[in-house]
Amino acid sequence: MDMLNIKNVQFAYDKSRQVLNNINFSIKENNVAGFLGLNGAGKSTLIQLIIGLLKLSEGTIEIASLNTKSHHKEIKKMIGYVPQDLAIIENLTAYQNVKFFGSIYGLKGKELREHVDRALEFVQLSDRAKDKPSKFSGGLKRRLNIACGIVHNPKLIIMDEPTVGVDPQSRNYILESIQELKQQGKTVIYVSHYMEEIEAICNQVVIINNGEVLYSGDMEELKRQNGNELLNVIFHEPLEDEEKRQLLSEFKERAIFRSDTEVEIKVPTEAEDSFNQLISLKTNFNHRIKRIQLSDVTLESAFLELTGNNLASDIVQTG
Amino acid sequence: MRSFGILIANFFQKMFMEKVVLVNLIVLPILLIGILGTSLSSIYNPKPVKHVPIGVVYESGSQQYKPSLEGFFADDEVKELLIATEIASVSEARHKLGEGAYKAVLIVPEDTDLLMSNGEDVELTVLYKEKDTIEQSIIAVTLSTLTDATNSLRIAYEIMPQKENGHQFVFEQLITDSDISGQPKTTAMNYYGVTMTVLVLFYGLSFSINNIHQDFKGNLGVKLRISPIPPIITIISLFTAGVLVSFAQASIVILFSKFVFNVYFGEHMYIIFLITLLGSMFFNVLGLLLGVYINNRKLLNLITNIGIPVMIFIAGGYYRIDLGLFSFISPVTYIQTLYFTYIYQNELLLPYTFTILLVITAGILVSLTMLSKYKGVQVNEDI
Repeated sequence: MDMLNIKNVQFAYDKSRQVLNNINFSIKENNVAGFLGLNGAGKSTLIQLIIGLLKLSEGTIEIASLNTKSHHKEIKKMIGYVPQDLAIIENLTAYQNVKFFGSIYGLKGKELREHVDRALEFVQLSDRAKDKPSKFSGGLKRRLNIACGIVHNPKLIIMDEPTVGVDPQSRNYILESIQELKQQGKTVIYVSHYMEEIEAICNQVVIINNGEVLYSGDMEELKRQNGNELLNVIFHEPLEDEEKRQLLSEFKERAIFRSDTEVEIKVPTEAEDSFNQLISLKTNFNHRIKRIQLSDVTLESAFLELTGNNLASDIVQTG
Repeated sequence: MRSFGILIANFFQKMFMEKVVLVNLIVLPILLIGILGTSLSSIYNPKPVKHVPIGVVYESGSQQYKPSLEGFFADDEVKELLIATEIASVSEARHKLGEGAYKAVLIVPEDTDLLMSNGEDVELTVLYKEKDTIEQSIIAVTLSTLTDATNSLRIAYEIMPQKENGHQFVFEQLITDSDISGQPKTTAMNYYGVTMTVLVLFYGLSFSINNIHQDFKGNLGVKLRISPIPPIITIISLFTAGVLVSFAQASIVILFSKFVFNVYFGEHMYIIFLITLLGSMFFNVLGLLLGVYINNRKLLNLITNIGIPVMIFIAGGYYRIDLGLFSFISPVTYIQTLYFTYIYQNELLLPYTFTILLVITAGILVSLTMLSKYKGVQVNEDI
């Protein structure tokens, strides 16, 4: 069954600013779907439409086969949202925080206490339940943020950049806990700029660019569509312009320059073609080559192929 | 209803976990009352009230009694308090009373001589323009010696109907020395007991602003707005929580001032608490409106940190100044006027009260309408 089904969604903040164009995709139940896109691609707007923060004007969004317009009350209880900016109350203890968010979803009494204990245990904050978030590190605050978003046992959990600014230990813990959520039968939408995270935990990926969905589907299928392997060639010294032109004419659109000394070449699927191209490289640039590495196609290269943009440089530029 | 209760409880829980808030908004105002009330009492210079001008009308048929009354007013002790001037007619007397030439008019009715000669009761009428002033008390006490001396003489006190609505509140009246029994002695302590209470209420404005920005428009607000709780319930609960906190804090200040500093709050404390509730709602609704329309946090911080003290100053909250009509720019003036008019004139100004209720109602409706349509997310540091 599809947990999330989006059909023909269009959205504009005003007449001059169309943010989403004809969005169509679905996410199956018990999937972990990664949302990828540059800043301003429309990810946040789409998330806000899904969680009901923005009013849908065109198209339909269905969650667990329920239309968000006609069943918004039932749907609200199904969604757990973990925002990028921490939504925790610094003055209250961790336990009080989680309890509050559980109570606003209708939990009370013994059921509420059990849910709170479970949520704190899930994020491994049971021993810090009586402490206030003001004493927590960034990683622990992020974990508490997650606990507050899942305490009411939602079916669909949306996490917006949950690992921003956290230490590696907490980050690994968060990624592991998402895997555990999947094992519990939850559906997770994971929004992140970190390709390696999406690659590590997601089995479905949705790539959004300029308000349109460029790809929605299986992660491995995306990589297959963009080649099998990558040849990473590093030169001793920067190539001259003429040499670059020579390489590009040889490998055409399969060669991408990472820098003046590094080029990435998609290896063709035909073994003979691969072999011929390796020979050509060796012949023309033998003494100039420092190292050749063969690697699997990454999500990053697939993203680059689809959008023509580098997500890493987008993070650097926008901070 | 349950959601409403959860949000209110959460608000109070957050509030009382932060001890600095309790210190700032209860302890500090009480300290200010004590410090300002004690240190500034010497500069208040109470003025004694004497030589109160009154007009006397002797209607026809009272000429025999007239010398007796004139003799009374000629007494040195009476002259020290009252200066009586004969006026030809009641209409002229009313006119001059309205103009303020006299503080009261004594009317000796036309059948006085006849009634007195028959040994019947005579009723003199004293017309006032302004109710429950110090001058009125002096006149009443002085004239009571007349009735004490003459068993058949009675005095009826009436307020002359006003053309204008409301009551001109004059700061000078507050500092008039009054040793008349039953009248409040106006001191610096009494003055600051009220103004510091109003200061506490005014800070309710910042509660509402913060509530809207943190718990509705901010990150926490996002979680509330996507929860099953309707936005209107969230807004009403934030407003109610702000009102309850303001009211509780102001009430603590009032009770402490009354029982420790002996600040005088009028005859009936329930009226004071009613005004306090009105003030809580009034300032919180102003905060609600500011929170709705202004997104710039720096501007809102400026309003709270600078605007509030300035408005308190304009209303004479820190030092007794009368800026006339200019003082009405400050919303503090309206609540302060309600307090002082009740405490010192025993009157609840109904026009003010109804106007404030109207502002509260309109403010809530506008805020509910605007906020329930609010969509999107406000970033932490915006604009």
